[in-house]
Amino acid sequence: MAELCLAVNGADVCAPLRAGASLLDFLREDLGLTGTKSGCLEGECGACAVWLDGRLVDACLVPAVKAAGAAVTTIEGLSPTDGALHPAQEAFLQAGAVQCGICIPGMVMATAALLDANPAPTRAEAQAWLAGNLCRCTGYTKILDAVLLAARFGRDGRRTSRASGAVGRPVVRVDAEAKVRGTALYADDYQPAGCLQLQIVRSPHAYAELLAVETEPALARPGVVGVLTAADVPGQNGYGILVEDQPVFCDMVVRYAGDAVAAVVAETRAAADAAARAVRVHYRPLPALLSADAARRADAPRLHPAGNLLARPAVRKGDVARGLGEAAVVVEGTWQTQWIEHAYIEPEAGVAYREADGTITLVVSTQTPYMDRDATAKVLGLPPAGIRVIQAVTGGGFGGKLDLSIQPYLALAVAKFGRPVKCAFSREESVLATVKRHPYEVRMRLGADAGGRFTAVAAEISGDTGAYASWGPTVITRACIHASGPYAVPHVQARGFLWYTNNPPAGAMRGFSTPQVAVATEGAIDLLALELGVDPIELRLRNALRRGSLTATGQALEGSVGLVETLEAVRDRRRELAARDPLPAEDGPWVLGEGVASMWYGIGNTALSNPAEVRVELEADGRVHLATSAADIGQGSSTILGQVLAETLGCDLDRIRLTTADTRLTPDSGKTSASRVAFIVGNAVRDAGQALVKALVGEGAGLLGVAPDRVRVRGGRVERLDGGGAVGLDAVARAIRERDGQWTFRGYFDPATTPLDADGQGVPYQTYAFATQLAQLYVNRETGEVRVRRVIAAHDLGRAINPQAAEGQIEGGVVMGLGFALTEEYVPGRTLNFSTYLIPTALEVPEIVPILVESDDPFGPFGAKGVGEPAMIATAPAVLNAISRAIGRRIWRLPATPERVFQTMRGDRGA
Amino acid sequence: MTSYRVARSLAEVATAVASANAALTIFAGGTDLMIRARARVASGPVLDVSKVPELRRVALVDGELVLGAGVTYTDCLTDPLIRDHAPILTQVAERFASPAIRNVATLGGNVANASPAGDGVAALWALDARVEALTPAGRRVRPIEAVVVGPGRLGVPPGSVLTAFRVSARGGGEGSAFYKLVNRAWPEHPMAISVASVAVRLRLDAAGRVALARVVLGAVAPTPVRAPAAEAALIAERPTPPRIEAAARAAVETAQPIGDLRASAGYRHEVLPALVATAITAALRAAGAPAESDG
Repeated sequence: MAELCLAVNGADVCAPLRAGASLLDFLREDLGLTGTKSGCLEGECGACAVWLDGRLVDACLVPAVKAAGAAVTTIEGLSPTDGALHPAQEAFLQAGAVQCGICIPGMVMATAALLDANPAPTRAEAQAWLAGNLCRCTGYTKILDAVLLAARFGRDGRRTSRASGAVGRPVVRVDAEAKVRGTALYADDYQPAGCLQLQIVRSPHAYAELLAVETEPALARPGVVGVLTAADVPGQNGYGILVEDQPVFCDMVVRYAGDAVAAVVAETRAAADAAARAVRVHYRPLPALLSADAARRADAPRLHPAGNLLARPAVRKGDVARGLGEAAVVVEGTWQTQWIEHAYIEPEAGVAYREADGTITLVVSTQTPYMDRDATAKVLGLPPAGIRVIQAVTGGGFGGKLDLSIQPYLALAVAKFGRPVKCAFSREESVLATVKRHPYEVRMRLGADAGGRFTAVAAEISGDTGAYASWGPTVITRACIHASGPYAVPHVQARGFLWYTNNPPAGAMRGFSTPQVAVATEGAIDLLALELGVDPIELRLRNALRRGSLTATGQALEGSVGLVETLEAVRDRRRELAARDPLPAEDGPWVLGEGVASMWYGIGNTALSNPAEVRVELEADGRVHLATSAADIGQGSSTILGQVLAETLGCDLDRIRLTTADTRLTPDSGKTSASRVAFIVGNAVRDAGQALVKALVGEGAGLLGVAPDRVRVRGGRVERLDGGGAVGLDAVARAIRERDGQWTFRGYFDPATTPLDADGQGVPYQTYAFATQLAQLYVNRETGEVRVRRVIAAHDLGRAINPQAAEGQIEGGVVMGLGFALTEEYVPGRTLNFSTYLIPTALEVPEIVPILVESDDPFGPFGAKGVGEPAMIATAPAVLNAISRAIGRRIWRLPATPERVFQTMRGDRGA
Repeated sequence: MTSYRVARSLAEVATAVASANAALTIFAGGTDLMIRARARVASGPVLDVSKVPELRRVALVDGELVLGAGVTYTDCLTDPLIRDHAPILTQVAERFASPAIRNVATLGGNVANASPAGDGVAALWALDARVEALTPAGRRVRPIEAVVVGPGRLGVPPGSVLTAFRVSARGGGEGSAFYKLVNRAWPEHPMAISVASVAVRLRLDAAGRVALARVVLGAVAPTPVRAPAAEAALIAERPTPPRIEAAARAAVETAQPIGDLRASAGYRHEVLPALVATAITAALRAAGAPAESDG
């Protein structure tokens, strides 16, 4: 094998050159420089950006051989050798530009290249420069802030200092530094010695009888260790969150193009790829059901034993016929939303190995270590303790990493072959095979009296859940509960129907389908506002839920309800901005439109127990250790949970040491979903912290020789209230260690909810987040193009534990909402990668004005509720309402592509 | 890729082309080939021409601008000769991919790829480019419309290397503009394949009449195409708004769009006049005010 020699980060290196290797392969696999990330392998995402002889390039598009003799700089070589950070790295960290972090090395390399060429870029120049670096978390706003901050660091020659503190402070994230340095280890960055590679063989047919799987041709290939099929599943060949209907390996029938039929395990990725193509699978294709309409036909084949209707929840309150009858005005419409891909920049990946005690350990990209563990154990026929799941640093989730993807395959391969195994999906495999957001058709009727007070909402929601149940039943139930919006409506009927089809499985995605329903609810309200000639904010104010209001499920709201404040905040900010920076009504062919939408979102599982457990320990050095399985997927939960504990203990975050998301080392804090972590896990952390404080008070008072009510815990000490002395936590720890060993406190919280009755009545969530967003945009009346100018987003999140992180969630949610409204559409079989699935770029990001409304929830930790999913829910309806107002016609179907807007302008209702 | 060889001079390229079999794959920026290699489309011996200095040459020769086929899109943004004498290539580069892609993607690669939606191809078309190629049978010079003959199809023999483009250098009273329509929430977004594009080059005479008109449509036919009726509607006339409208409407005659994942044929047809009018208007502005022509 030929050798490749080049200079990497200033050092000369030589390594064997594998045929066909890209520079990215060479850096990551041969040199172990895993700071450079792999996102798409087609030059669309920029995650692999490095410098080649001083020029920015995408390493995935450079053949390694071409770098012979060249000088390559990667993220690992960007920072000065003294351990300090490059100004761009420091600026990303301080600006709060780092969330999941998978895009950050490429983003930082691109930023540093920009600053070399242009030390004082404008924001617009930075946007254009970074247009080829995709980020799915941040909404780019804080990344652009970081670019300008880095430029300032460069000009001033000095840097600002980092924020510290506890709740309410914009503390730098605990994981940010490793992410800007490129040292954070994501699942695909692990390369255990002797690691095998696994490649799944997937069905090309949407629906087919599986006749035979011939593995011999694959087994005969060089480097192949073995092939797994359904016959190799020792336990249950099926998994699923609510219905265990998804086979690990199909054995009789395949139900979507992408269904797994076998997995090849080989010495190298190339060998596994080649062998996977050599597996001969015999199918008898069957006519596929490719829409909910097809699935509901009486003569449709039954895709699962119970038929094609997966779920049909309903919420009924009052008498909707009466409510509509009493209305002075009734508006109605049918909205259609599209399939959406999560499009996290990190595709699913993991490694697995057997530990000395026989446990199979999985290090994976996930949102839910414990559920992964239990489901994988079932597949292997093992008790849960036979599997250990450790969350690797995870490059985004948005609900898509709540389902199993690589986990059971890795564990089966380790069990069978005894060696470490890796599986990392390509972008194409991630797009083909993993869960999506449900496409919905929502028929909405909304009645109001002459004064604009809502009398009734009737909603019929029909969705395509694809081949397997995944989170479908939860998703459609949440849709029905939220269908009447954050408003007091006396008569509500919301009925949902979720159909199995031969499309990819739809699962959880940010908002659990409230974004789809909000498009219809808020669209109907906009129709009503136009019909009545009432300002859309005013109309919402007249109907807004308030503390004590009855929801559609008959729940009297006892949590904080800041909807009115969000509406007022948006109205006020709009007025201020209009005075300071007025937007012209027309600009050539571009016409201004403005739209409003509000939203509500119940925190946590729907009408189910949703507990979290955490553990807190006082360490010998007086620091406090928090152990939680809560998976930080980029939203910042590790940081904010640490802040909650610090606040409880009256100290700064730097006193807290964290262990997260490892089923052996951390108690079950539940999954990262439903915007529950801040509220539910935060309460559990506070619970444990309070127990520690109580014990510290007792112990410290004893050491100080005063009564417990004469001391308090603050600043890492137990101090006398009269100022007459204090004892450090390290001293307390030493004192108790000799007597009690280590102090350990368990924290627990489970929100107060009740099951829903047959009419969907009950208390599905203890508390709700609320928001109002206003979008201002321009529509090109000649082409149908849309450019969004400004989004004002006021969010009642209870309390901002970390205001910078909360803003980052809002900005990221707004931008994800823009993609949902305008550019994203997953077409099964045709969407392959980022060139055919257009998530928003830095260039498309409008001015985003986040407003944090702190309503101080009585149940939340220090008043906090949640903001992760709420951030995106109001955006798409606000944007669609704005387009509709600009062009004078309603958009009924998403996304509002230039063509659809153009056809709508011309009056084609089918557009 | 079975074998990968890096050429260091044009002479080396010529030898390789003359002696190789037809399966020689020419590798320049690699932004398309690397993706195809991963999809296992490319195979056979590869000749990397990205380190051939002659292919990066930009020069004014006898009133023509000669652009090496290895000129990158970053070069199109930064090279003063290109900015002055073929500003439409600079305009394309501003709307073309990311900085990392522009650093390696070449004009030659864009042309050799022969995509109907190739933005650089449409611009070269509007510049009346003549393409120089080293073919197994020797050096050839052909007009671009004889080289790009269909989607992914070239009018030169397999194994040929495109070496240079000879384009008409901008003269007095001349202005150009490029406009692309994409499915993104920002007009002319660089990270998107054109739904339709328009490249326009116009020259005004001393009396303000149109003396030369090139109106080229992209992504609405198997290759970029000139719109002769649109050009005819402008020639020898003062470009008044009604004239521009007439030309824009006439341009549609040439379009034979198909429907694909990005847009329907109908939409491409209907929206084209607006794009053409926009591009003509911008080109006229550039022609009338040369100081702004880099626009």
